[in-house]
Amino acid sequence: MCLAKAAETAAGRYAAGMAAETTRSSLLLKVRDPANQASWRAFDARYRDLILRFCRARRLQPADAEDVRQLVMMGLARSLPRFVYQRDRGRFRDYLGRVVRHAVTRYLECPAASRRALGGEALDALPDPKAEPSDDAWEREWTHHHFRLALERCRDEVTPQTLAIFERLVVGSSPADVATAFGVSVASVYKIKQRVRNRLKTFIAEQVRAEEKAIELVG
Amino acid sequence: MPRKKPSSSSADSESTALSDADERLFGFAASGVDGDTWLRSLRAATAPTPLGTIGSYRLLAEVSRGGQGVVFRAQQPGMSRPIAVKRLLAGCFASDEERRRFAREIELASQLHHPGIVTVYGMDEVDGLPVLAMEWVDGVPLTQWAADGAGHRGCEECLRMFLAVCGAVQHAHQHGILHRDLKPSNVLVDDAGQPRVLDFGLAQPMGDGDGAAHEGGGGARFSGTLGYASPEQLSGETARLDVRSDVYALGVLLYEMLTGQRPYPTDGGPLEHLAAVDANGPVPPSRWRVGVGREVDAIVAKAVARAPAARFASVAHLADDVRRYLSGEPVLAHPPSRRYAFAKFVKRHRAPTALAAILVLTLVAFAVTTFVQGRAIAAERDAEAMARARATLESQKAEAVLEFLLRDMLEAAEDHRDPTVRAVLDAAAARVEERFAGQPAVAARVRSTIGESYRRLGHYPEAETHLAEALRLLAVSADDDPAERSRLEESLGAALRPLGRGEESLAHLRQALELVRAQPDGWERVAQLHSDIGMTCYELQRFEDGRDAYQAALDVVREHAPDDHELRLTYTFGRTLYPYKTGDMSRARGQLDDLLEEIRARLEPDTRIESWVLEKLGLVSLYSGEGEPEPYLRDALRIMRRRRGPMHPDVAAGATQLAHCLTGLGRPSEAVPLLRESVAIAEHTNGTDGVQAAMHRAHLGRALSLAGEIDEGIEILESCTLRFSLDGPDVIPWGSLSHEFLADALAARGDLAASLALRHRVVDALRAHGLAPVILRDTLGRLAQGERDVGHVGGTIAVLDEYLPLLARTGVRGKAVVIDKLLGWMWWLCGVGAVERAADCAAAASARAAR
Repeated sequence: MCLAKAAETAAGRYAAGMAAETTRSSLLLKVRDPANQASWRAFDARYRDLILRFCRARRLQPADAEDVRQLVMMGLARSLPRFVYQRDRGRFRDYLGRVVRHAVTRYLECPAASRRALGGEALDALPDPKAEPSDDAWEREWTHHHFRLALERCRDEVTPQTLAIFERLVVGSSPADVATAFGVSVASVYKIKQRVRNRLKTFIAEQVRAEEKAIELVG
Repeated sequence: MPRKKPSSSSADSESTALSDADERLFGFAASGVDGDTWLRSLRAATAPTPLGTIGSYRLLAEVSRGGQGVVFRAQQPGMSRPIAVKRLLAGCFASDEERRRFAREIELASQLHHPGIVTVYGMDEVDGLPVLAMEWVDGVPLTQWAADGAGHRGCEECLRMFLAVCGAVQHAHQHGILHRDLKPSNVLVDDAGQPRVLDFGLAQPMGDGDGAAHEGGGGARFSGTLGYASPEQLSGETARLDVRSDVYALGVLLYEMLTGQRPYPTDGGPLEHLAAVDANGPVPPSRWRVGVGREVDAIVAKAVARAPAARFASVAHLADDVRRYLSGEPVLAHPPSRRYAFAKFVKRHRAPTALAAILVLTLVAFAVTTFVQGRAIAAERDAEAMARARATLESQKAEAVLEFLLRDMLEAAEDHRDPTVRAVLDAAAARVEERFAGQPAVAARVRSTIGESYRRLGHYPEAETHLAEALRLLAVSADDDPAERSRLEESLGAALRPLGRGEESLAHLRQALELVRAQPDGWERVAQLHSDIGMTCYELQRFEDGRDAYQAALDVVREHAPDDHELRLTYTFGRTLYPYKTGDMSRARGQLDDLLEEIRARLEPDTRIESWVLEKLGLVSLYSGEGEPEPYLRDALRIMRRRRGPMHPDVAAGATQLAHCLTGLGRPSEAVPLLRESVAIAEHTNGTDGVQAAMHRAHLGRALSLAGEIDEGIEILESCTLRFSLDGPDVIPWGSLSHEFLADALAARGDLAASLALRHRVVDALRAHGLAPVILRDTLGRLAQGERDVGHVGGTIAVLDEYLPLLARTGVRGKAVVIDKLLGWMWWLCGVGAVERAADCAAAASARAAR
């Protein structure tokens, strides 16, 4: 795998989300209003990949994954406003995970011919938080989602060489091999690894906080 | 970059830290064998996941996602060539109307057979949903194609490509199909250089104005893409759309191909965009780009006119005019009339780089002010014949300058069609001599304006030429005005300093100071001159004089303008440099920290003075080894770039400081690109042989050799040692530094003897110079190490005999470092049996520790 390659497509996918950086923290607030098209598009751009990847991990075909994504968006348009105002609603990530898993289940249960009707009724009821156990697969995809966002942000900060070195580490090369390949000391490879790790961690912390805080603001 | 002190962010980082549970979840908490859990997560997160299939198509990648459909690159079973597959975004939830529309789009598109239009293979149905299969085009977006190559493709090449695009769109129009979403990503240029128009996603048959359904009932939504959609499209007047809407989009495309930018800003929403289209026509493309003719300006302006009626009636008409231009015939679109109002000129240059306009404005303001002043003086002192004569002369001068500006400089700008400041100035400089022959007073005024402009742009050699000539002219003219002379002396002094000619600079500045002091109400300039003198003294290593000069500047400000914080802080910064320059890093840090705090409290963000303070804080951190230098220097460089543009010597200086720091932190390979940039800037602004380029090159050579590119490093450093000789005035600091860098590089390559010989030469030169004990001391230290490394015990001891007393006496840069060095050498001396010297060393170290 080549990170740069993955980033090419990732860059495009996240472009909309990243471009909306200034509105990001209040994104969830804005999408409470289903008529706010621009915010919904930004929301879609930010979470689309997460939803699609989760579906694919569940072995859904791309067309089905797209439909589930559509279903999730329709469901969120209905339930997100209520979620935001709910007192003991818990974390946004768990809520989103429930909606997505619920959508997958409902979609798969439904015979292909009558799926279109799901758009009218499905997910109208917010799934009960206590009814479903936490889901490792969802948590995994959610962490991956934040890793990708954070990596994108790192990309703007580090030099091409640092990035190239780090990419090698990500694909599993040993620091010693990387040091030889780039003609630098092993110590500096470790340094780079540590530096990028710290940046990722900071970015992820910011992202996670922004994600939750956007809801806290109206709590 | 966060605008806060890197060292004081702990409170913030606490509130943005991950919770313990999340730390574990992301794998940051693990240690030992599992310490790389986060890295493995990242690997999984970025691994491409196979997409799967839609019907019989195996999907290779998601290509694009529009308002209506998502497009994949895909493969059909048994076929090697990829195709493009498009599926409705709404998928199984698409309404009947949407499905009907999509099917019709496919039907329409498959009617079009043209080399410039992507071939549609047909419709497939998967799970009851229509899927469009079309030819896969491997190409680059039109604007990317135009920007290709060294810089940009020529105007004619762009126009020919544009004609081909017009041909394709025209073909669709002839079949009754509007595109409605022409934009760079919908016009790809393939490997054969053929443009291919794709995505008829928004196309509708002409005259079929049932746009509401298409809008999806979304009310204010418009179809198309902001920036390319015509004003009538943006207003949602879908019923009114006709071919002229595509003409508009083509006009935008042409504009972008030629200039790399869009005619109207798009960063706001549709409403802001519409307002911009309304306000005035676009900046003519020729203003952005050399080689674009006025006729092309006119063609583009006509294509992107606000009102459809003002545009070309069809794409065929547009293409015809382009063709006429290419064959040298007069175009039908009329160039705007040449009523050359200043306001218009300035307005056109207002927006992005605007350098030329700023320059012209400055010059005009200058000329007009003097003109008006001349009149005012005349009116006030009507009774005094002398004053009247003087006022007349002033206004004559002003008129002459104004005339010169209007005629010569603006016309020169017209000729260039790329009125960069440099081009305008060079053109003016070339004409000034003949134009003002026999009028030394006026010529002096114009030369001084040109010279000062060069100086402000960082073109110091040119500045010197014009300013010196202006001084000469002023002396021979009958009108040697002390005010004007003082300005010239000051300018010239300021221009000479960055050229490394400090003593000359100082002489001119002191001249200026004398002249200004004699004038009433000149306190601001008196303060400024004190500060210029201070800076120059610092550079000449006359630290006390420098500090005193800044103090004098501060005193002047305190007396005359106690509330002018910016001025006060600027001069305070100058005074604060004293502990830094003399190596008292802890005092320097304290004062700089206080200063930064006050700057941030009192001034707007990102001032130049903030960047200076940040830079110095970075260097203090670097030299004292306390704190992180890199964030300071990066922030300083960011501000510098923002305020000065990409090609200014200050940016080069900032980049080199950062590079110097990175090299110091053991990351020379990251320093190399920064230094190459610095060298390029310095060569651009002050010539290949300039002292600044050579300084940056010396840093570059050093970084390269440390980064392992030893041969290239040595080559560069050798050229630097030729530029900075050891026996001239250059020896401090660049003569000695460049030779020492070379010695380091030679040692790294293994040429120890050559390296050592070079170090001896440096030490000899410094001894002969005799003025810089600190530099001599450090050089001796490195010489001693060099001798030790080749195993010359006697040689090492001989050097140490001179070095150690100097170290014990003059070491001011952090006590610990000095003691460390003394003890290091003590052990070495013990080891080689020089016990007495070792004992001296120990005594010196303990004396220092006790201080």
